[in-house]
Amino acid sequence: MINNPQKSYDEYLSHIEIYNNDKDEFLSLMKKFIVSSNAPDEYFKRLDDKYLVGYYNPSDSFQTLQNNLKNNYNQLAEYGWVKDKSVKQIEYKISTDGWRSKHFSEIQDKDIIVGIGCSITYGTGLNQEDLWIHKLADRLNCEYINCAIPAVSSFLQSLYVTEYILENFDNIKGVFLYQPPPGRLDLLTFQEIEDTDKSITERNLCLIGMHRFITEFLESNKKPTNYELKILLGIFYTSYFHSIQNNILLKNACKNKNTPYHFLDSSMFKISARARDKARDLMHDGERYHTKIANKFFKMYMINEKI
Amino acid sequence: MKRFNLEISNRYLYLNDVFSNNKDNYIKFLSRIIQTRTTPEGSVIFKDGYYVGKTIPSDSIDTLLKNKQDAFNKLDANDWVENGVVKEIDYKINIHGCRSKNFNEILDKPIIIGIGCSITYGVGLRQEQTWLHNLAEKLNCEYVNLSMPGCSLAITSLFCCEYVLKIFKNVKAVFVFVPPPNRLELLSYADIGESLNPIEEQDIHVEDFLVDLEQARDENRKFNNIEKKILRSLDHTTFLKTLKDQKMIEYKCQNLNIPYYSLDSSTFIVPTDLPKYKKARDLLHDGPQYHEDITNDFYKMYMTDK
Repeated sequence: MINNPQKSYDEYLSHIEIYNNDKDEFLSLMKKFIVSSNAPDEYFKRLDDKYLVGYYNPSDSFQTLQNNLKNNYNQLAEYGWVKDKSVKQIEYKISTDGWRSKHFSEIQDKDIIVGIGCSITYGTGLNQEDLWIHKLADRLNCEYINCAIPAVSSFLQSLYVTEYILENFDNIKGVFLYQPPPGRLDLLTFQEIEDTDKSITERNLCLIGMHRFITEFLESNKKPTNYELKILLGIFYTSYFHSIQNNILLKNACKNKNTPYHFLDSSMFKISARARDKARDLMHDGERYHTKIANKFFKMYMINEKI
Repeated sequence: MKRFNLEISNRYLYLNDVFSNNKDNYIKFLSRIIQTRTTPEGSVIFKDGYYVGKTIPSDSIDTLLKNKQDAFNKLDANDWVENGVVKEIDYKINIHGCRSKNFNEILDKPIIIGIGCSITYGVGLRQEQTWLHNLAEKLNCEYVNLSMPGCSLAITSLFCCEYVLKIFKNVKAVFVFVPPPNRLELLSYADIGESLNPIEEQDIHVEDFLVDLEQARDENRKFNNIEKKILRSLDHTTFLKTLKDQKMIEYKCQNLNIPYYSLDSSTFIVPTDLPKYKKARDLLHDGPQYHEDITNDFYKMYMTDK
């Protein structure tokens, strides 16, 4: 592609062909991005019921845990992550569809709600039953799909929900977007450089947030040129408008299907410091925060139902 | 890094505040971004509520001078010469940055909306030669031309959903002529000093990832593996982004019961080697016949649907 514009044009036509003529293939392509982003960190295994299970993920990693055990043991204890002098285990269980919730095949005919978001919604550093989407589903007496990918915006998730979930599930009680923090702009990329020479359907692809590059850039202590600085600061604007787009896309798609849609912005959702606890990685918010989100969404849902 | 993050978070709250509390600010901001690509270059005059000029960056004074010198015969063969002089083009832009009438003049009239890139804008063509103008004439209505040369649908689709479809109550249909692939825009400051101004005053530009890529290629720059992976995967990112832009408009139209039609410039193939297919004045873009073909296709889609 870099040295061949025609190849880029051909790539586009191949994408169009897949999208128009083989929707299943298109969705499996999206699934690749999702699974590669949501699979637990090292030591994961595939269970007999096909769930992918692991005990760490990139932000709540084995390394982070070792580090916290060594340097922040009291904090871990304070937030209830220590029992009998051992740190509690967390199970990251990912469905074949790539989400931290049940396989679609298990809940296809049941009432469901859909949660969309980033690591907060995914539940980094928390057990699945402590997540807001799990709690909300409990209160609404239904199953759920957790369309969350850590460390990115809702770029891919919003498209997946409109293109697949809203089209394939008949009993959706509500769609809930917990908007990721600002400044996130995602790129789809190849996992390995060798993948660039494979056909579209054979490639290993993943989703990365551009802020990772910014982090690397800033940490490298390299002095940015004015052009680089403009782009870096401009990412903020670009991501702002992308997040508005994700919201509008979901809102209108849901409206067309008569599905209730609710939105909460993580940047505007504040709870008192006293009510705050921490997830096991000591970076993300804990179970209490998730209860508050679930309560807020529940209230929004019930008000809407009454109207 | 921490300081940068904090800054982003504060900026976001500030931006949200500015835009949520004053929708006008938000719309003006989007308009300003559109204008950066649609306003004519050189000696632009503001006349009767329109910005008017004779050239724009892709059909620029330089291109014109160069073509006059090196490709005069080609200009002549493409009907751009009259009495030995190259024909003039009026680029007349409304206050929102659209190459069509000011919204307040047509607010209560039936309209169609056209969305796209330089093709829809009509680079190198007179306004009455563009597909949207012709389509509006066939459908006996006014039109809003939401197009940004060199760009994807990212900003125009947002402007359409957030503003145009809200203020116009008599929209007959929305037509999207999908721009060529691999366009991914980043908004950036026109000048780094702009970042210190209040948001509503900041001068924002649209930077194209593809342009960076082409520049890098021209410079024969060596890419590391990470850069290669990112650049090569732009195909995936831009495809999904363009799909989302289209879907956003489509869902909004569906919501408002407005007919929606799209044609993809990449798959819209016409025999441009035939003599009747002339070029636009910049000798790069397609000419009037190509636009007529687009008009006819959209017209057929609209009438069939009806």
